[in-house]
Amino acid sequence: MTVALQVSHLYKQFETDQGEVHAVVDVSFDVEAGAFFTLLGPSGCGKSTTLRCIAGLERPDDGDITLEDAVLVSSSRGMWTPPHKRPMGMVFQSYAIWPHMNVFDNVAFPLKQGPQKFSNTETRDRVMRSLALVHLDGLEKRPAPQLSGGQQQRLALARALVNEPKALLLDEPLSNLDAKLREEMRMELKQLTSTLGITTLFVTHDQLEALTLSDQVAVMDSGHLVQYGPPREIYEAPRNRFAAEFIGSANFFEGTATDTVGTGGVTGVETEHGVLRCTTAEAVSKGTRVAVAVRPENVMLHAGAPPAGDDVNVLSGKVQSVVYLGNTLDCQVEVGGALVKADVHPGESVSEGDAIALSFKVSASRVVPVGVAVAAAEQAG
Amino acid sequence: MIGQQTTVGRTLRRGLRTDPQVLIVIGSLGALLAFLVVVPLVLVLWFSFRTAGPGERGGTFTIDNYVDTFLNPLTYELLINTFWFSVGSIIVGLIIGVGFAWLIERTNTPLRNFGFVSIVINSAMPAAMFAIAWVLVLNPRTGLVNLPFTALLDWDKGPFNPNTMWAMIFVEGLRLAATIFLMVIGLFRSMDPSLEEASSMSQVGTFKTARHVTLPIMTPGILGVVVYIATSTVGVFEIPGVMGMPADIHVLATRIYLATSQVPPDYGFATSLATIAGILGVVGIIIYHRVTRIQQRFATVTGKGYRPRRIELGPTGRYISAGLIILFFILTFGLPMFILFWASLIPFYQAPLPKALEFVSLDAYRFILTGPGRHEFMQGLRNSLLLILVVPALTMLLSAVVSWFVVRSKARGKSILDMLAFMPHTVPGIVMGLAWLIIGLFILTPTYGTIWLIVIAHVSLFIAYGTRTTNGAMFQIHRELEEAGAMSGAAWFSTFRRIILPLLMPSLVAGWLWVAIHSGRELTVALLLQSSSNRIISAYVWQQFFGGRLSLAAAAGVVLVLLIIILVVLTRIVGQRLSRQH
Repeated sequence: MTVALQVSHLYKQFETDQGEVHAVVDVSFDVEAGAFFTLLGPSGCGKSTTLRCIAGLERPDDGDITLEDAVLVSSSRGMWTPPHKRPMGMVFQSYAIWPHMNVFDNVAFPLKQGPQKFSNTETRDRVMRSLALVHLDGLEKRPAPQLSGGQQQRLALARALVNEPKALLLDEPLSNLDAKLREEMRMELKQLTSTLGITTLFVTHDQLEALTLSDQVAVMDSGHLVQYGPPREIYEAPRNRFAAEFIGSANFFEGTATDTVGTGGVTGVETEHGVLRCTTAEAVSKGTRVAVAVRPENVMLHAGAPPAGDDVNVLSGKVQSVVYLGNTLDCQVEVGGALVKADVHPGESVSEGDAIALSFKVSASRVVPVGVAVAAAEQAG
Repeated sequence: MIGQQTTVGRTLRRGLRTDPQVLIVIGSLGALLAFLVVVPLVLVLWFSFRTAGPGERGGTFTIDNYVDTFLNPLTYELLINTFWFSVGSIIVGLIIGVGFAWLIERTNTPLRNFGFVSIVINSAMPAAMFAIAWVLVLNPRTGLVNLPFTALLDWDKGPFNPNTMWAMIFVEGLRLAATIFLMVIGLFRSMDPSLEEASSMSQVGTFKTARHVTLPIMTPGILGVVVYIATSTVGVFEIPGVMGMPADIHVLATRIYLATSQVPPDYGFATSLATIAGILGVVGIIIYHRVTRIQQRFATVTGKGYRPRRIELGPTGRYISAGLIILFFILTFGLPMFILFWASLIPFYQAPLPKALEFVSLDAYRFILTGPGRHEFMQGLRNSLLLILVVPALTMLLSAVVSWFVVRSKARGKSILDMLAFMPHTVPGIVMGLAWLIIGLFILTPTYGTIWLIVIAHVSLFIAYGTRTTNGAMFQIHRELEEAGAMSGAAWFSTFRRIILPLLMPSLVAGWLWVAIHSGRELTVALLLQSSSNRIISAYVWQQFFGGRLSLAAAAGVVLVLLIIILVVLTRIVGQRLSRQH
């Protein structure tokens, strides 16, 4: 696979009344051609600013951005391409449908005002093709403000695609839709982008959207890119506490590493509940303060004897609460003063007050660094 | 390695320069605004410290102008007159304006819509015309209000006299009432009605509630209005010019005018007085900003969409309030308009009594429209129409571009741009007039005596209003609508023309009409810059009035008022159509 979009060492800060805000700090990533790449994070994490730097709507303080063969931004060479010269289409959070034009004119705008000039018939053909792509054909005469939210969304998509851009940028496009419509549009978006094979950059704060749509997810926190990789990797092997907590939920046990191991190795972690054996994604040295992240669905509860072996950690505790959620039982188990969350099959017979054993696999226990996100946030602030 | 921390402290190189296109535009805009705003004012200041006036060769630095001005007892008389004139007319304006705002917005008085119309229609009458009408109404012998004494009691003259400070205060107060009404009504609209309801529920009556609850809550807001109005009255020229000047009752503005129009002109005196007036204006605006900031801190006015409950007036109260509204209409529009119209029909002014009916004729209209006076009048009409068409167009286009930079761009120096655009507002009109007179004599000599000098001066005068309108509107346009244009591959100029301008259109049209009305009726600047070839109608009226040709002045005035009424009606129609659209 070839790399279509390359972002390296991107920095952006804003001057505000409260002083400087580091919105984007040393963010680098590659997006492969045709991939669906998602920037995920809570509001204010810098994901939108990153996207806007790529679009050219913000001017980064430092860093390089290349799209295919073209250098869009290069701070060392003092290069910056204005947004209207970047071959990209963008769907905005508010859709930004121009209210003084009808559907046709909205889509035709990039063709009429853009860098390339088209004949009237060519323009018409392209607009119609683009509208057909998003199932808006037949509505071209309608004034834009008369469209529903979902239709405006499709129109914005058609407008972004009509110029056949090299990359499609989506800034939280689904957040203004109601839940049902959002799900529908999510499916459509996935289908459309994979049919077209277009390199897509998607910004969202919704982990479900990120996991279901993306080939690659980049998790951002306080301006930093904390991890990026395929959704499954992010979920199963979070590199730090923030990634583990922001996507899904996790139990954390803090402690000290007992071994020095390399990437993908297994180390013991001395916690207040004893030594837990865990898998680490990055190299870790003996004596470092770390945390162990365990997903609730990976925690097994055993009324009887727990399994034994090298590949499993076992703790014992007392069931504090059990909430029936239909497809799972959401259990809180008190272990040595701390609460551990476990999602178990609803068929399990667990009730409050039971003394119980907990087990989780070594492969499901991930070492994450302690407090990096906090330290970074402090430095950024 | 885990345990290592990402290094953030990398020095941020400012390697990426600002878009040169934006730099060029913002630079030239800044230069243009500086020329329109700063240069005139600096010139006034400059010549207040020079021995030679504009157009004269040589000259050295001096403070004699100020020494003379401050040693001159006339100056203190002027300042005292200006003070009483301002304070007096503001008190009159406040009582009427706030009272009417309360009546119309907060009570169930009859004739509410009529009251609104009479406020709005008042703006169609240029201040000088209004003053001329009141001079006729208050004339000791022939004035309507003196008629009972002269015609019935056979006195030599009645008790009312237009050429007094009291009369000036009253007439200016009537003018201010309309402005104050329009500024205060917003405060009444956004007030939380539950504050009043709490008072009613404590068994406190309507008028006690108004006095002890409503008024104190409104006080900070009204204080802001007072400071704002006071700033503008420092430079008011028309009414003191028409009513006070003939009796040698001078205020700052009339003395500045006199100093420039006498032969030879005394620019040292004029510019030093103008500097004083300018400083008063700037101080006023600073106080205004401070007051409104305090007002925001004690925000009693929440701005939520309340529909305040209207206070029920009793049957007697309703009669009284209806009477007051009718009286207001008569005083601010009905009577002055009637008198002007009457004066235009009578070759030599007489009181509107049956015995004068035999002299009624359309001679004055014939004279200015088809007769020997037509060249002069038509020239004035052409010039006024040119102002009405060109000034608003230039002003609003410039405002739109300035607002884009102020609201949208991230370029440094945009706040300076905004400040520059607002500055003419802080300076009295008479000072701007003097400044442009100096520019006409000194820098843009080819434009002196042409209508184009007035056009440029008016643009600089109204750019403050224009940018306030477009700034507000620009904030309403979602940033992404514009960014979508850039992402569609359109360059800045296409985006501005195809997206921003069409979306701004409603406010541009509203601002256009406002500027058209004010440019069409403006007198102070036009009078200072006038010569034989660039006279506009309002200056024509002035000239005929002081030349003793009252019927011609009145006839031209009637034509001008009709012209402006058309613009006002247009504004209302457009405004309503636009508000229906949204």
